[in-house]
Amino acid sequence: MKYSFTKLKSVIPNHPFILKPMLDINLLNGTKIVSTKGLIDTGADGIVINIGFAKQLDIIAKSGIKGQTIGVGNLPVPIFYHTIGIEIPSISGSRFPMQVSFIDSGSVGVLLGRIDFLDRFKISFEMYTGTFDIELKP
Amino acid sequence: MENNNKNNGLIDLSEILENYSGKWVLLSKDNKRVLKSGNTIDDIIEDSDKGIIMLVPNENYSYSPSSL
Repeated sequence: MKYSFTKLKSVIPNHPFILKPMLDINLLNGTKIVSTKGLIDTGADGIVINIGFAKQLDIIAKSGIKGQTIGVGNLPVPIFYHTIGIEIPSISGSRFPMQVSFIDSGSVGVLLGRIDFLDRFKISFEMYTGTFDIELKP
Repeated sequence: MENNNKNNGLIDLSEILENYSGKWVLLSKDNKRVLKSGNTIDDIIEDSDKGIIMLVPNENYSYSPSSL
C-alpha cells in the first residue's frame, strides 16, 4: 500500500521544508490502544517509544529489562524493553507482538527501526514522488 | 480505523503544526486540525482516543538517524 511522506518545516539551509516517512500506527496492549505516528527509521536498531505512552498502555515501563541506547549525541540513555502489539491499521494482518524500548526523551515520539518492525515488511521509498510503499514481507 | 495516508501527494502538516515545534499534539484523524497540545505527552494522552498523537519535531534542529 502506498503512503505519503509528511511535509514539515525545516531549518536546514536551502530546504525550508522536509519530507519525513511518518506512518499511522496503533500501539496495543490488551484492550488498550493508542493511535500515533511513527517515524520509519532505518538507522535505528529497534523500535523506540516515548515512555509517556507506557502509562496509557497500562505498562510500568521501568519494570522491563533495562538497557541503554546511544545516538549521535554519544551519551547513553536508559531504555526499558517490553513487548507490545503494533499494527498498521491500513494493512490487514499487520498486527504483531513487537519488542520495543521505552525511553524518557523529549525528542523521541516513536521510531520504527529494524528489529521487529522493518524486518516484517517490504518497504520502498520514492521521495521523488513523495510516497513510500509498505507490504507484508513475502 | 480510517487510513488517512493512502492518498498520493504529501501530507502537508507544515502549516497546521507551525506553532507547535517540539510539542506534543493530538491531531484529528483526518490530519487537518490540532485538537489539543502540550509540552509533555501527559498533557494530551487522556484524550488519545479522539485522534492521533504526535511529537512534532523541533524545527530548530535537523534529525540524524541513530543506532538506537
